[in-house]
Amino acid sequence: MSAYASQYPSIEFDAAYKKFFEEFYATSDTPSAHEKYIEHFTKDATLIMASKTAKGSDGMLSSASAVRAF
Amino acid sequence: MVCLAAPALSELSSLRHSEILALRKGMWEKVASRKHQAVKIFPFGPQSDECMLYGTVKYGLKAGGESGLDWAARAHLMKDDGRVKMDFYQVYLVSMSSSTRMPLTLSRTLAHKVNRLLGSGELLIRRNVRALLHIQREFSQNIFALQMGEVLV
Repeated sequence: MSAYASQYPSIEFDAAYKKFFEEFYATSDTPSAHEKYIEHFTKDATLIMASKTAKGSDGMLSSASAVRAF
Repeated sequence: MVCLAAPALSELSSLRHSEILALRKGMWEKVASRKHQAVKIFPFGPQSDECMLYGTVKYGLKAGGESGLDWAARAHLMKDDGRVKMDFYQVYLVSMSSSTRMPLTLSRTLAHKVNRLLGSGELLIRRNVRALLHIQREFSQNIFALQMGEVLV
Protein backbone atom coordinates (compact mmCIF):
# COMPACT_ATOMS: atom_id res chain seq x y z
CA MET A 1 0.00 0.00 0.00
CA SER A 2 1.35 3.38 -1.04
CA ALA A 3 2.27 5.94 1.63
CA TYR A 4 -0.14 8.20 -0.24
CA ALA A 5 -3.13 5.85 -0.15
CA SER A 6 -6.42 7.30 1.09
CA GLN A 7 -9.51 5.87 2.73
CA TYR A 8 -12.68 5.68 0.64
CA PRO A 9 -16.33 4.90 1.37
CA SER A 10 -17.49 1.49 0.12
CA ILE A 11 -18.88 2.71 -3.20
CA GLU A 12 -17.60 2.26 -6.73
CA PHE A 13 -14.84 4.69 -7.61
CA ASP A 14 -12.57 4.60 -10.67
CA ALA A 15 -9.28 2.89 -9.75
CA ALA A 16 -7.51 5.26 -12.16
CA TYR A 17 -8.79 8.18 -10.08
CA LYS A 18 -7.45 6.63 -6.87
CA LYS A 19 -4.06 6.19 -8.54
CA PHE A 20 -4.22 9.78 -9.77
CA PHE A 21 -4.64 11.21 -6.27
CA GLU A 22 -1.75 9.11 -4.93
CA GLU A 23 0.53 10.33 -7.71
CA PHE A 24 -0.66 13.90 -7.43
CA TYR A 25 0.23 14.31 -3.76
CA ALA A 26 3.49 12.39 -4.13
CA THR A 27 4.42 14.77 -6.97
CA SER A 28 3.30 17.73 -4.92
CA ASP A 29 5.81 16.74 -2.22
CA THR A 30 8.70 16.26 -4.66
CA PRO A 31 10.73 19.50 -4.86
CA SER A 32 11.99 19.05 -8.42
CA ALA A 33 8.75 17.76 -9.97
CA HIS A 34 7.37 21.12 -11.15
CA GLU A 35 6.57 20.08 -14.72
CA LYS A 36 5.11 16.79 -13.61
CA TYR A 37 2.90 18.63 -11.13
CA ILE A 38 1.47 20.86 -13.85
CA GLU A 39 0.62 17.85 -15.99
CA HIS A 40 -2.02 16.87 -13.42
CA PHE A 41 -4.22 19.76 -14.58
CA THR A 42 -6.09 20.35 -17.82
CA LYS A 43 -5.02 23.41 -19.81
CA ASP A 44 -8.24 25.25 -18.90
CA ALA A 45 -8.39 24.09 -15.29
CA THR A 46 -9.73 26.32 -12.54
CA LEU A 47 -7.41 26.37 -9.53
CA ILE A 48 -8.33 27.99 -6.27
CA MET A 49 -5.64 27.72 -3.65
CA ALA A 50 -6.76 29.39 -0.45
CA SER A 51 -7.26 33.04 -1.45
CA LYS A 52 -5.67 32.77 -4.89
CA THR A 53 -8.00 32.16 -7.83
CA ALA A 54 -7.30 31.55 -11.48
CA LYS A 55 -10.30 30.94 -13.69
CA GLY A 56 -10.05 30.71 -17.45
CA SER A 57 -7.96 33.19 -19.40
CA ASP A 58 -9.16 36.33 -17.56
CA GLY A 59 -8.19 35.10 -14.12
CA MET A 60 -4.73 33.99 -15.15
CA LEU A 61 -3.25 37.46 -15.48
CA SER A 62 -4.49 38.73 -12.13
CA SER A 63 -3.50 35.55 -10.38
CA ALA A 64 -0.04 35.66 -11.97
CA SER A 65 0.37 39.17 -10.54
CA ALA A 66 -0.69 37.93 -7.12
CA VAL A 67 1.92 35.19 -7.33
CA ARG A 68 4.62 37.72 -8.17
CA ALA A 69 3.53 39.83 -5.20
CA PHE A 70 4.20 36.86 -2.94
CA MET B 1 6.69 40.72 -16.84
CA VAL B 2 3.62 39.33 -18.59
CA CYS B 3 3.02 40.33 -22.20
CA LEU B 4 -0.44 41.87 -22.49
CA ALA B 5 -0.56 42.15 -26.31
CA ALA B 6 -3.57 39.93 -27.11
CA PRO B 7 -1.96 36.53 -26.54
CA ALA B 8 -3.31 33.52 -28.40
CA LEU B 9 -5.18 30.89 -26.40
CA SER B 10 -2.20 28.55 -26.41
CA GLU B 11 -0.01 31.32 -24.99
CA LEU B 12 -2.53 31.91 -22.21
CA SER B 13 -2.36 28.24 -21.39
CA SER B 14 1.39 28.34 -21.09
CA LEU B 15 1.14 31.50 -19.02
CA ARG B 16 -1.18 29.65 -16.72
CA HIS B 17 1.34 26.85 -16.40
CA SER B 18 4.18 29.27 -15.72
CA GLU B 19 1.99 30.82 -13.06
CA ILE B 20 1.59 27.47 -11.28
CA LEU B 21 5.32 26.96 -11.71
CA ALA B 22 6.08 30.28 -9.99
CA LEU B 23 3.73 29.41 -7.17
CA ARG B 24 5.33 26.02 -6.65
CA LYS B 25 8.85 27.42 -6.68
CA GLY B 26 7.82 30.08 -4.15
CA MET B 27 6.61 27.36 -1.82
CA TRP B 28 9.94 25.59 -1.74
CA GLU B 29 11.87 28.75 -0.86
CA LYS B 30 11.00 28.38 2.83
CA VAL B 31 10.26 24.68 2.98
CA ALA B 32 12.83 21.89 3.12
CA SER B 33 10.27 19.09 2.96
CA ARG B 34 6.54 18.56 2.60
CA LYS B 35 4.32 15.60 3.21
CA HIS B 36 0.70 15.62 2.10
CA GLN B 37 -1.72 13.01 3.29
CA ALA B 38 -5.18 12.88 1.71
CA VAL B 39 -6.58 11.00 4.68
CA LYS B 40 -10.14 10.50 3.44
CA ILE B 41 -11.60 11.00 -0.01
CA PHE B 42 -15.37 11.32 -0.41
CA PRO B 43 -16.64 10.75 -3.96
CA PHE B 44 -20.06 12.24 -4.79
CA GLY B 45 -21.84 8.90 -5.14
CA PRO B 46 -20.86 5.78 -7.12
CA GLN B 47 -18.61 6.27 -10.21
CA SER B 48 -18.47 10.01 -9.58
CA ASP B 49 -15.94 12.41 -11.15
CA GLU B 50 -16.21 14.77 -8.20
CA CYS B 51 -14.76 14.43 -4.67
CA MET B 52 -14.30 16.26 -1.43
CA LEU B 53 -11.06 15.51 0.39
CA TYR B 54 -9.89 15.82 3.99
CA GLY B 55 -6.14 15.97 4.40
CA THR B 56 -3.13 17.04 6.39
CA VAL B 57 0.21 18.47 5.37
CA LYS B 58 3.45 18.64 7.35
CA TYR B 59 6.27 21.04 6.49
CA GLY B 60 9.90 20.82 7.51
CA LEU B 61 11.12 24.41 7.58
CA LYS B 62 14.50 25.49 6.24
CA ALA B 63 14.72 27.82 9.24
CA GLY B 64 14.34 24.76 11.48
CA GLY B 65 11.35 23.16 13.13
CA GLU B 66 8.16 21.80 11.66
CA SER B 67 4.74 23.11 10.87
CA GLY B 68 1.51 21.51 9.76
CA LEU B 69 -1.97 22.29 8.53
CA ASP B 70 -5.27 20.54 7.99
CA TRP B 71 -6.90 21.13 4.63
CA ALA B 72 -9.98 20.24 2.63
CA ALA B 73 -10.42 20.31 -1.12
CA ARG B 74 -12.95 19.86 -3.90
CA ALA B 75 -11.67 18.16 -7.00
CA HIS B 76 -13.24 17.42 -10.36
CA LEU B 77 -11.54 14.74 -12.43
CA MET B 78 -11.70 13.89 -16.11
CA LYS B 79 -9.82 11.84 -18.68
CA ASP B 80 -7.82 13.69 -21.30
CA ASP B 81 -6.65 11.25 -24.00
CA GLY B 82 -6.91 8.48 -21.43
CA ARG B 83 -4.85 10.39 -18.86
CA VAL B 84 -6.57 11.45 -15.65
CA LYS B 85 -6.41 15.19 -14.97
CA MET B 86 -8.18 17.73 -12.79
CA ASP B 87 -10.13 20.52 -14.47
CA PHE B 88 -11.17 21.95 -11.11
CA TYR B 89 -9.28 21.96 -7.82
CA GLN B 90 -10.04 24.18 -4.85
CA VAL B 91 -8.16 23.98 -1.56
CA TYR B 92 -9.81 25.08 1.67
CA LEU B 93 -7.71 25.69 4.74
CA VAL B 94 -9.36 24.59 7.94
CA SER B 95 -6.69 25.16 10.58
CA MET B 96 -5.60 28.39 12.22
CA SER B 97 -4.09 29.79 9.04
CA SER B 98 -7.56 30.06 7.52
CA SER B 99 -8.23 32.87 9.94
CA THR B 100 -5.97 35.85 10.50
CA ARG B 101 -7.46 36.34 13.94
CA MET B 102 -5.90 33.24 15.49
CA PRO B 103 -2.28 33.91 14.46
CA LEU B 104 -2.64 37.53 15.58
CA THR B 105 -3.91 36.37 18.96
CA LEU B 106 -0.95 34.00 19.19
CA SER B 107 1.43 36.84 18.32
CA ARG B 108 -0.04 38.92 21.12
CA THR B 109 0.38 36.03 23.55
CA LEU B 110 4.00 35.65 22.49
CA ALA B 111 4.64 39.38 22.95
CA HIS B 112 3.16 39.08 26.44
CA LYS B 113 5.50 36.17 27.24
CA VAL B 114 8.51 38.18 26.07
CA ASN B 115 7.53 41.16 28.23
CA ARG B 116 7.11 38.93 31.26
CA LEU B 117 10.53 37.35 30.72
CA LEU B 118 12.25 40.70 30.29
CA GLY B 119 10.65 41.93 33.51
CA SER B 120 11.72 38.96 35.62
CA GLY B 121 15.23 39.97 36.71
CA GLU B 122 15.57 37.09 39.14
CA LEU B 123 15.60 34.50 36.34
CA LEU B 124 18.93 33.11 35.24
CA ILE B 125 20.13 34.69 32.00
CA ARG B 126 20.70 31.30 30.42
CA ARG B 127 17.09 30.30 31.05
CA ASN B 128 15.91 33.56 29.55
CA VAL B 129 17.91 33.04 26.41
CA ARG B 130 16.56 29.51 26.00
CA ALA B 131 13.00 30.69 26.52
CA LEU B 132 13.46 33.57 24.08
CA LEU B 133 14.82 31.21 21.44
CA HIS B 134 11.77 29.01 21.96
CA ILE B 135 9.48 32.01 21.56
CA GLN B 136 11.34 33.11 18.45
CA ARG B 137 10.82 29.66 16.92
CA GLU B 138 7.11 29.69 17.78
CA PHE B 139 6.84 33.14 16.29
CA SER B 140 8.52 32.22 13.00
CA GLN B 141 6.27 29.17 12.67
CA ASN B 142 3.31 31.40 13.35
CA ILE B 143 4.30 33.82 10.58
CA PHE B 144 4.95 30.85 8.33
CA ALA B 145 1.42 29.54 8.94
CA LEU B 146 0.08 32.95 7.94
CA GLN B 147 1.99 32.81 4.67
CA MET B 148 0.91 29.22 4.03
CA GLY B 149 -2.67 30.39 4.33
CA GLU B 150 -2.06 32.44 1.21
CA VAL B 151 -0.36 29.78 -0.89
CA LEU B 152 -1.11 26.19 -0.21
CA VAL B 153 -0.61 23.97 -3.20
